[in-house]
Amino acid sequence: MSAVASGGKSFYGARLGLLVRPTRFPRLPGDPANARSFPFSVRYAVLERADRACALEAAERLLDEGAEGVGLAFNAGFDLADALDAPFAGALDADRGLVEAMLPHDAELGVLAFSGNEGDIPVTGYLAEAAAEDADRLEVPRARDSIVEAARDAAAERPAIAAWLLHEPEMGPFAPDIRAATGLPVYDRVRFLARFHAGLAPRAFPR
Amino acid sequence: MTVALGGAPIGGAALGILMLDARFPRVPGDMGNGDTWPFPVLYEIVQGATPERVVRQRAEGLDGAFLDAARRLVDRGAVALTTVCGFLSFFQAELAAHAGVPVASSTLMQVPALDRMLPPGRRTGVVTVSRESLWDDHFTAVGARADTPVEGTEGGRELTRVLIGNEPWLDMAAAEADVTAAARRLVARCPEVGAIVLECANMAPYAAAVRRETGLPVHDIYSFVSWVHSGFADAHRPPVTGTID
Repeated sequence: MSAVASGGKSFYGARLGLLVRPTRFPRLPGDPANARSFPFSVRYAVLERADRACALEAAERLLDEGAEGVGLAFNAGFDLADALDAPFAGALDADRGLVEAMLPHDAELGVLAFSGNEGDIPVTGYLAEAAAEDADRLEVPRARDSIVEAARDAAAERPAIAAWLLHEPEMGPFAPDIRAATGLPVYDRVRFLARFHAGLAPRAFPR
Repeated sequence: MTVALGGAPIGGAALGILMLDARFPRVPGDMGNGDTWPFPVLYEIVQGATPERVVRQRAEGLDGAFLDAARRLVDRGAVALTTVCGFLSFFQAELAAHAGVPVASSTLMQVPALDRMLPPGRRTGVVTVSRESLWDDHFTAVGARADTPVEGTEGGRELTRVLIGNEPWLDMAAAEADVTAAARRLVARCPEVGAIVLECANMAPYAAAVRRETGLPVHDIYSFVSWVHSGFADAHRPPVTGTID
């Protein structure tokens, strides 16, 4: 490694740019819109509106400032991978395929979603309502109970479920609770983004 | 809750690693070096699975040995399994069915997921320890395109010779030069490559150098398996409270 450092931009070490929606919902650790969810620095851009045009403009600004890849901290109905000159972590579908590929053929991935695609497990109750209303207060134990109960019920109903994918960013903070309650591994948007970031910053091992 | 559930001789969310029957050096960053991992791992050697046999002879006749070793790891308490060789992708379905836990047989599994995150016209390329030994079915077994661009280190000075030849010494600087040179050749030959996957589980020590030299995202077995383990990791983390910061 050279002993001469190269500059060229204003700040360093925040490689992942993350687009967040303009909401007021409390973003607990485990939600990608809480910076403490990650063991590395991220650079946030708060969108004026959660639409494609706004997101594209913000993503380009993040890249211009020095981000090396951009991701979404929420589920959007659009993708930016076809419009950016850098890798883009958008839909969780990439993880859906990857987790499914690891499981035995007769096992299922349980996708917990507030309002999901066919095959997803619809989660209703307190957490779903608070997220939908963009409530600025959240009773955390009540939120935890509502999502854990949904996971328990789904596991009882579909014993082939061997892993979870939490489709909503608001579910991430309760991943440990879902794992503890069901014994199954849990994947979510924070984990997806951490893997994406690892490609931008491969670990340097001691020699 | 103060009642604990048992069920296996070893507790903790340990990752089970199926090891080759080899003696070449396992440097920091290599899967077979315990210091590489920030979480517990369980190792099991697959008897007879020499690098030569697994890479050059498609692990022929070793199915039973791999499946038995996978079962032993799960019986001891492994919550997920991986292997130390990207060429073992064609055992994915068999291993997962036999082990009954999530299996990440090969870093090649990441290729389809990465392809969809890249700019238009870009795709994932692979750097391997032996290009001629990486066949179509190594890719298709894990849902990757058979025509995925590949470049190998076999023309280099150090890494392939030491690994496949199972030699006792490794010049890490020369090994790094082999890997970065292969990555540069890959990008020169296939400019559409927008991310690199390192097939070989012994290449993670050089991933940062490949990223530095190519400017492309680099995904290796270390980051892949760290993600796999993260699904199991924090069952015992204190639950989140109302404190946000």
